[in-house]
Order: sequence, then structure tokens, then C-alpha cells
Amino acid sequence: MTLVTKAYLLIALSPLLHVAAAFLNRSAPRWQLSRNLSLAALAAALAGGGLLLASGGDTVFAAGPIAAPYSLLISVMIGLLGAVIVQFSRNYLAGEPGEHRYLQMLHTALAAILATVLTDHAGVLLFGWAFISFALHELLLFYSDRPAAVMAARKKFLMARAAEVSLAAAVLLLVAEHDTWSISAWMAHYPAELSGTETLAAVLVALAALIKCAQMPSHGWLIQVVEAPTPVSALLHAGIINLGGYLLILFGPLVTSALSAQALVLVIAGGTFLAASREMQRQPAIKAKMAWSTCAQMALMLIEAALGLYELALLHLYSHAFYKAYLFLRSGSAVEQFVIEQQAGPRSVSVPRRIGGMAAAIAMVTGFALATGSLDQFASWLLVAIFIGIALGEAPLRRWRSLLGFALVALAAYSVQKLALGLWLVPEVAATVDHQLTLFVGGLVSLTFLSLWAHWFQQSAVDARDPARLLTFARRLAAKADSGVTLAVRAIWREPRASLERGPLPYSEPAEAE
Amino acid sequence: MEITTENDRDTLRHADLDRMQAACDKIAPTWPLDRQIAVNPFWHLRHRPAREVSATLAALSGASLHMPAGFYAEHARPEIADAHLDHAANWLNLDPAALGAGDTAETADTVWLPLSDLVDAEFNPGAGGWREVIVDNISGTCADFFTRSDDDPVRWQGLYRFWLGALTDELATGYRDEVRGLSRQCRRLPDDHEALILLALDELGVLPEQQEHFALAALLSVNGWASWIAYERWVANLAGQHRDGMLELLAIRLAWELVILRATLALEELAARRCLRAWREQLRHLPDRIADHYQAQGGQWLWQTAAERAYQGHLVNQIRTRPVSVERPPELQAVFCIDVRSEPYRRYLEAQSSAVQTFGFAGFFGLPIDYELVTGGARKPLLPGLLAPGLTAHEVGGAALQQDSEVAAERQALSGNAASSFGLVEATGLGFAWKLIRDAFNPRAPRPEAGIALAGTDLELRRGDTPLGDAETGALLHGILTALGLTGNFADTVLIVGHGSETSNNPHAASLNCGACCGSTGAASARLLASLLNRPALRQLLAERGISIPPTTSFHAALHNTTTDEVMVLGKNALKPKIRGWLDAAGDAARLERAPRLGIRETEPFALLRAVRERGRDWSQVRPEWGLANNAAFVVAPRRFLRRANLDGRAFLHDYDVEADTDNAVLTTILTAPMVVTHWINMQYNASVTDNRRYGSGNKVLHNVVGGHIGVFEGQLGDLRIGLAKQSVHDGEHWMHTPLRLSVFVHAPRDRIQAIYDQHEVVQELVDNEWLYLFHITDDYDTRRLYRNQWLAWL
Repeated sequence: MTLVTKAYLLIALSPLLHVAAAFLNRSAPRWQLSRNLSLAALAAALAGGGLLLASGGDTVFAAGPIAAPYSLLISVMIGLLGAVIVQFSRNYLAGEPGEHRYLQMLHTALAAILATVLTDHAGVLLFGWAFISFALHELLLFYSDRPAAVMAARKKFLMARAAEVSLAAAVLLLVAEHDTWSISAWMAHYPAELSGTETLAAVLVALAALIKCAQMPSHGWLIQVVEAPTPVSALLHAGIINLGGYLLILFGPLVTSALSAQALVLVIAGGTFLAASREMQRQPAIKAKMAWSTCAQMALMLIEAALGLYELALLHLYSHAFYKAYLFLRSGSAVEQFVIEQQAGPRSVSVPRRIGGMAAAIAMVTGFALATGSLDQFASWLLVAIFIGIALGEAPLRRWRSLLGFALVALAAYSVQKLALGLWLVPEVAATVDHQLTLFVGGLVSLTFLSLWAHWFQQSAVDARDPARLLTFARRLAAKADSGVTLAVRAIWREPRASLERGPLPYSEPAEAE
Repeated sequence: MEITTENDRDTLRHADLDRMQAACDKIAPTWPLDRQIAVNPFWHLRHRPAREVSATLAALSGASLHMPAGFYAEHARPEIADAHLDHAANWLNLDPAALGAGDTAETADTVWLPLSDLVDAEFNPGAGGWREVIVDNISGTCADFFTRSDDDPVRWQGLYRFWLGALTDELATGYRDEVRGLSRQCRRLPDDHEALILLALDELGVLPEQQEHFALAALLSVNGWASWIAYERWVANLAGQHRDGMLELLAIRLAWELVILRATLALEELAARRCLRAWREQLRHLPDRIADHYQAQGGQWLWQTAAERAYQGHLVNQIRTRPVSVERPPELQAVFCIDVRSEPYRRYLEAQSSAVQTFGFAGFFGLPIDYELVTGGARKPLLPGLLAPGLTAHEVGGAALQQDSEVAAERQALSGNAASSFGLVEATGLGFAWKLIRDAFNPRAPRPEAGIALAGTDLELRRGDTPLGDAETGALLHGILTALGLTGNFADTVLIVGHGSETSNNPHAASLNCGACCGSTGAASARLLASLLNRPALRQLLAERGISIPPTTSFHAALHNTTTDEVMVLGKNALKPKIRGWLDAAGDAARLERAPRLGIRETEPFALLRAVRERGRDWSQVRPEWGLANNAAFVVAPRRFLRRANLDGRAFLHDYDVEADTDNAVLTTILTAPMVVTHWINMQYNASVTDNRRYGSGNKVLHNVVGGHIGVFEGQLGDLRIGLAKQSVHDGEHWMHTPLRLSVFVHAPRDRIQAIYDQHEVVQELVDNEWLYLFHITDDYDTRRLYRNQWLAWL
């Protein structure tokens, strides 16, 4: 057995271990076993991936059963999330009825995600894609006696089917075009001038990615599914919803060859980015805030992918996954955070400090951009600069030294990740990018970021919740679309509502009183 | 009556609004999560007998104040003897045969339904119901409104107008399109809430005598937010101000009824009139329905009373031990909170040596303070919710903690802000992978309490911004030591032991802390008291007032960790090894006693300690400890009387020595303050068990914190949830709290208790309306129950 074969077997072991765990939990919850199998699946993904990269480098992917080098990265990410979520759920769900059902579906979902991101076979991809939704549907209905949970799960059900149909159509078109089911073989043909069929396929892929990432107006369910246990939300926001981004990266050479597909993503995700990031700020409930934040973050990831900035999209995909999983699992600490903030005393706002912070941040970031030779991606650097600038601007001067140190470390880590991902994991696709478009849209995106920053700058407190008029309009439009989905759900599932305490009418028609 | 003049009309309208206000006044407050102290959710209904309130609420909202009949028969039967049932039947004037009758009491058709529900049943069977739509709309609006700070102009316009404005926005999004004309009806609503209420009363045809019930039922359908408004009202009252948005909330709820009525009338007049008639008929029969419930609940109250009677007998048997007087001079004196979790620990600490003396006192140790970390920062109240802080404990040199807070505040600002959160994710996202691994597989100990220093710095007692003078401080200390009964015979080591819980990632953490410290730990109060009592100048003043503390005596502050049963000394001075050994041994024994209820099977002390510590720091643990579950009694007596009794951690214990209380002032305070607090705790636990859906906060697995501290939603929306989570009182298989109304035993002569009862209406209400039992108990365990001005032979 060659080293490469061993590596493939190890990698294949990782979804299989989750399948085994799902099977072993079919009648009673076996938490310890689940935990160990999840850790083993993580170890298998890590070891297999490492072995594969060590043994063959880029050449092994050309004809192998794995879609792309970054598939390995995402499978490790899913492995880690799976292990953490299983470990978390153990005590969190103790005493809830249906623990074994939960574990079964959780492992099924994890196995399906792993299979989906690893495979190079478009049929397996489709099958896995659909399987994730079915397992997730069961998880979302963990409390199936809650009418709101049922409604949200059904909305999600409709959206998932729409995305699947869209993706399946694209896959069939591409199979017909190239006479193979291998995704990497398809992508080897691009970038190229596209035929009408190929353009349609590209648009359908983009559509599937947009729906999967809950971009407006298909976002309603994402906000409403917090009716499921917290770890299910963590899995959804960290390991499932971002698969739209994976899809766009995987089909990148095709999508970036079709201006219509790119434009579709840029317009929809761009609008979602603006509206959702403002909507996030005005949510009083923590989980709603986080759901809107995911909506906006996914929008940014899709924009990056559609522009061909794959290494950034990838970076965003896993960074956001870890960030949001942590935030969801930690959502119980909101009160503690609130108390600590209150104790801090009034925050001093100083305009010179804010401007100074921003200037320092831009100087640092420009340095890193020049050093890594990626000044042309100024929009992405600006994003990081704004983060560092605000961090400095909010902090008193005595803490600048430690903050600048932190910023240097963060920038170094960011640059290294960006370089590594760009050089190593997505080498050939990155060369296909249309630089003029990237520069143009990058300029637009930069203006957007700057306007967000300017909005922050003019506020004394970072809490202005009443949105601008244009955004109110966008919100209404999106809400209207969402209530349309609600009506569709009502029309499709006509069964009587599971009512909380509704009996027959308490009184029949009384005799006409005198 | 013929209405002739404008004046008459005005008077009538005022009377209508007064009745509405009367209903508004019946909602009890709920404290925010960071100060979550227990409240009796029926506090403002205490002027009526408990059984009547139970029947009324059952008819108005479907609420339940007792367990279903099967519960008692199944879970409490061995303890409840037939004699207890006979006793209860006799007391309630019921035939014991009524025991089974209660089973069918709570069917849906005896619960009052709002008009919107009847409209639903008539027009939309099977479609999405108005009930959820209305609650979600009101709850969403309230969340948006009440999470805004007081200086936000939005709050100045009032809740009702804000709702009206937001409604237009929601209607524009095609909200419930299927009822045509709804938007038009909404646009025609008056923009004054009082005008709306009067309009609704007219059009719905609510008669004056029905108005209060009608309004109360409407408020109970959004009880969570009503309770929040009641909290704002309560806090304003304590500060001597007036603030009451309850009428506006009521107006919003009635506005929904009104627009639904108008829209359906316009749509299908005949059917709408049919609904309205059925609804009015229902309202007319409401008193009968309440009477039905009263009748039907007899069986459950019989079981309930019998269970309480059984426990009271059991408790007196537990107390019936030979009293011990400590002959030799004490080497250690330790003051604990009255909290039920102190009882086992105190028992084991005293078992270490006869030279150990413990005291029970409300955990804020009589210091009416709030806590301030830095000048200008928020102040944390550290006293019972019944009181307003008069003094401030200011942390001198809390800079390190302040820096923590600043960093946390900035971090929050960065991730919650649209401009910075994207860059934050890209630049630091990988760090969160590390945090995930750390917190899931190797968690750190949580910080003992957010925003309060445990040691290392000094606290300064201030009034406003100036330090409190020695004379005043001395008087305060004198009062505290007198109330404590610690006026002489001082040991060399005196511990002031506050308590707090150790729990991670828990929105309801404050409910496990000290209720007398407004949901904080007792650490700051203990530190302050110990440091004041160590100051020579103040000891001098105390000596002048007749309390002389020997120079060999030193006071130490300590914190009883109720999750792990460890006692940590706060401050630099270490304890003598012998005393440290006693504390540790007591902790080992108390842990062992409490472990089975937590499902921990370890018995080896070190392994057990590790197990409970892991539980406290586990971010996924929804049952870190059982808190005050199973509390049932409040015993006010000198410690010698109880020293050997094992009360199973179910009793609040307050030290009281009638000899020292010459003017009855100490007992008056106990029966009007700590007794009320323990009653609140008791009723919060009871209500969270008997009706977790209305008075408990439901499933922790779904909790969604609103506004950082206001409360939680269960899931996406729905009413604000109050009370305790199901996981806090239920282990997945059984209820861990048996609902029993508080039994208060006071070791004092009857006339002393009677005098307080005569003077204080609140005591009369609680006792006479059977919200609690008040007994006096003598040295030879003779007990009498005070009820409606009589001393009954009860046990």
C-alpha cells in the first residue's frame, strides 16, 4: 500500500467514523463513545491530510478522489467543530428527551458534510448536500412541539430544496457538457469562453450558493431557527451555512468566467451585506444578533469568492466558523459580559485618538500589504485596517502599546494565512481572476467599508439602531419576501397547527339574551 | 344610569381607568438577569387568600399554583400519612373523597379566552393563530423599546406610541395579509393610550364590574413584559420617583383586540357579531368559572396542605434534639447567610469542635450598600430588593479589574459593530479555534464574580461621594452586631462568610448567588464588614457603646462557594492551620451529603472535590448546583436550639435571641424583611415548578438573552420569560424542588409575634391568606400556628 493510498484511507475514515457513531446511537445515547469517535474522526482527517500533502504535493489532486487541497482544510475544521459540539452537547442536553435521536442526526450531518466537502464526484456532492439538509431538518425539529420551530424548519426545507434543484440542474448540465462526473476535471477546462449551457450552469451554481448562505431574500429561516438547541445553531452557523462559500470556491473557475453569475452574487450578497450588517446592530436578542451577523459575514465571503479572491474567501470561511461557533456556544455568557461592561465606567470618546488610531492602522496594514505584495487587494486590507483602527480608537492611550503588539501579531497571522492559502491551496485558480473587475469592485467595496467606518465615527455610542431610510426599504422588501415564504409553508403543510392550549369554542352561540 | 353632562362622563371614564390601573398594579416585578433575585410572582395579589388567587388565575390565564393531583399521590405518599390528609380535609372543610376530583379541573374550555382567540376559531381554524402573532409582536416591540437607554429619545414618547409607529412599519411588510383591512384599522387607532383603552372598553362592551378581570387577563397574556415594566416601576418607587408604563402595555394588548374586532366586523359582520356575543357571554360567566375552578382545585389544595402538614411535623421532629450550650470559650465564630445551602455546611463545621460557633444572618450583613468599582461606573446593588441602597462601597484601587472591564467592553464593541466585526473575524478568527478547544476540553475556572474584586484592595464606605464618618459607621456596626447577637464573648477568629456560586456560561448565574445581595455574591459585603470591624478607631467607638472587642480578635472575610462547598478566605491574613483544617473537613462532609442529588458517585474527598469543581467551570453544564431547590422552612431561633438538628438543607436559618431583643425591634425586622425575602424565594421555586411555562423560564437549551440582562426568550421570540429554568428545578426525570409553602418557626413568645402581626399589614396578609405558615415554637417544642388573629394547635 502506497503512502498516498494510506492517506486516502485515513481521510475516508473520518466521515465513516461519524457514520459508525450515528449507527451506534440508534437506540440509546452513548456520549462517551460519540465523543471518542468524533475525536478519532478529527485525528483521521488531520493525519490523512498531512500525509497526503507530505507525500505528493499538488500532483495528487489532479486525478484523485478528493476535490481540492482546501477540502482537507475544511474537513479538519468540520472534524474539530464536530468534536467540540459533541463534547458540549453532552452536559447541555442531559435530561432532554431524545438524546440518542439528537446524536444520531448530529453524526449523520457531520458525516454528510465531510463527504460533501471531500468528494470530487459531483453525484456524491449532490447526494451529500441533500443529506446534510435532511439531517439538519431533524435537528431543527428537535423540539417538534414548538410551532415556531416547525415553521422555521419548513422554511429551511423549502429553501434547501430550491438550492438542491438549482445545484442538481447545474451538475447535470456540466455532466452533459463534459461527459464526466469529476468536478476537478470540469474545472480544468476553465477559465474559458463559456457556451450558453455553461453560463446557465454557472448562474445556477451561484444561485445555489446564495440560497445556501441564506442571502436575502431567502434569509428568513436563518433568523428564526434559533428554536433549536444552541449547539445545533453552532453547527449550522459554523459548519453548514458556509458550504455555499465552498461551492463558489470549488466552482470558482467556472463562476468567474461568467460575468452574469458574478454579477448575480455581487448584487445579492452586496445588498445583503449592507442590510444584514445594520440589522445585526439593532437586534435586542443575542441569538438574533448572531444570526444577522452570520448573514452579513456570509455575504462578504461570497463577494470575495465571486471576485476570485479565493484565499480570502477560504480564510473567511473557517475564521468565521470558529468565531461563530464560539459565540453561539458562549451565548450564555452575555449577562456576565454585560455586567463587566457596565462596571467599566463611561467610555471616553476622543476624535483625535480615533483618527490617530485609524492612521496608525492604515500605516501598519500598508506595510504588511507591501511586504506580501498584495496591495492590489486593498479592499480586504482596508477591512482589517478598520478593525485595528477602531480597536485603537476605542482604547485609552496607555493601552496602545499592548494593542499595537496585538495588532502586529494579528496582522502577521493574517498575512501568513493569506499567503499560505494563496500559494499552496488555491494556486492555479487564483491566476484566473479578472483584475480589472476585482479592482473596480474592490473600489466599491472599499467605499462601503469606509461608509460603515464613517457611520461608526460619527456616533458617540456604538449603538444607533434606527436604520437609514434606504435600508428600511430594503428591510421591508426582505421581510415581505419572508412573509411570502411563510404563506408558502402554510399553503404546503395544511395540517392543523400544533396549538398550545386551544380547545373548542368555550361557548356555543348563546340564546339571544333578553 | 343616564349620562347627562360632560362631567358625569368624565367621572365615569376616570373610574374606568382607575379599574384598569388597579389591574396594572397586580403584576409583580421581575429583576434583570444580572440581579436576578427571587420574587413571589403573586406578590401584589397577596391581599387575597392563596386558594382564591389560584382559582382566579386558573380561570384568567390557565396558570397553576399547585401540582396536578397525581404528583402528590405518586411522589409524596410515603411521607403524607392518612392522618395528614384528614387534617387537611378538616382544615379546608372538604370531604377527603374530593382527592380524586381535581383531576379534570384544568381543561382548556374553562380558561378565559380573548376575543382574538374566538375570532381565530371562527374564521381561521388551523391557520397561524392570533395568540402567537400578538405575543410576538408585543414582545418584539418591548424588547426593542426596553433595551434602549433612558436618554434615547425613542423612550420619551412612551411604549404605546413607539408600538404604534413600529406597527406601521410591520404592516408594510405584509403582516398577516389574509385579514384584509387590518392595516387600515391600525392606522385609525388613537395615539393616546388612555383614549384607546376607553375606546376598546366601549366597543368590546366590557361592563364596569368585569373590567378588572378583563384587564388582568390581558396583562397576564404578556406577563413577562408586564413583570419587566413592574420592575421599572419598583425601582422608580424605591428611588422616590414615579414611572409606570403598565397602562400603555395594556393599551397595546387591547388595541390588538380592537383592530381584530373592527377588521372582522368589516369583513363578515354576522360571524363577527357571533364571536363578540359569545365572548361577552364568556365574560359575564367569568365569576362562575372562577368558582368552578375553586371547587375543582379543592383536591389539589387538600394534597398540598397535607404535604405541608407532613413536612412541618417532620421538621419539628428534626429539631427535637437536645439543645447544647457551648461551655468552653469559642475559638472560631463564623457568620453565614440564612440561605438554605449554609445549613449543611454550618452543621458540619460545628461538628468539628465544640469550640466552633456559627451564626445565621441575611447575607448582606445589614450593610445597605451598592458597589462601585470605579468612579462613574455602574453601581451594583448589594442588598435585598426591598431596600434602596443608602451607602456605597467604593473599591480603592480597583484598577486591574477596571482594565479587565475596559478590555471586555471594547471587545464587545468591536464584534457588535458593523464596521469592525468583519475585519475582526478575518484577522483573529483562528484564535477562536483555540478558544473552542480550550473551553470544551480544558476549561479554566470561571472568575468568581464579574466585576467585583475579591481581595487585594480596600473598600471604602461612602455616602454619595464622601467617605462615611466614623461616628455614623460606628452606629451602623453597633446595629449590625446587636442584630447578629454577637455582642460579647468574641472568639480570636471571627469569619464573615458571604456566599456565591461557581458557574460558567450561565445567564441565570445571579439566581444562584446571594438573594440578600441582589444576585451578587456576598464577597464585597463580607470584606467591608470584616475590614470595618478590624479598625481600631471603630472598635473604640463600639466599646463606648458597650460592645468591646478584645484586641486578640480578628475578623476575616470569606466566601462560601455553594457549588463546591469550599470556603475561601478573602484577603491577606491566613487562618490558623487548625481552623483551616476545620473548614476543609466541613466542606468535605457537606459535599458528600450533597453529591447524590447531583448524581455524582465519587466518595473519595479529593475526587469529589474535583468533580464538583469541574461541574462549576463547565461551560455546557446546565445544572451546576441545585441552588435553593427544596427550600421549605424558615427557622428564627438561637443556634443552641438547633445546633444538633439535621434539616437536610431545606431551611433558612436566622439567629434570634429574644433576651437580647428588648424592644422587639430585631424580630420586627426579621418578620418584615428576611421573612419576606425567604417567602419570595420559596414562592419563586414553587411557581417555577407548578407552572414553569408561565412563571418559570423554560428550557435552558433554547435560552436567548435579551438586551444583555433584561431576561431571556425561549427560542426566537415569545413572551419574556421570568423565574427559574426547568433545568434549575428538574433533573430530567424528577422535580428537585417539592413545592411547599414556607413554614416559618419563630422561637419567641406569642405576644412578641402577635405584636408585630398586629402592626404590620404585610405580615397579616401573608399569614391570613395562607401564603405562608407562621408558628411559634418553645424550648419544649410546643408549637402554635398564628392564623387570623388566633393561635391554633396545628401540629
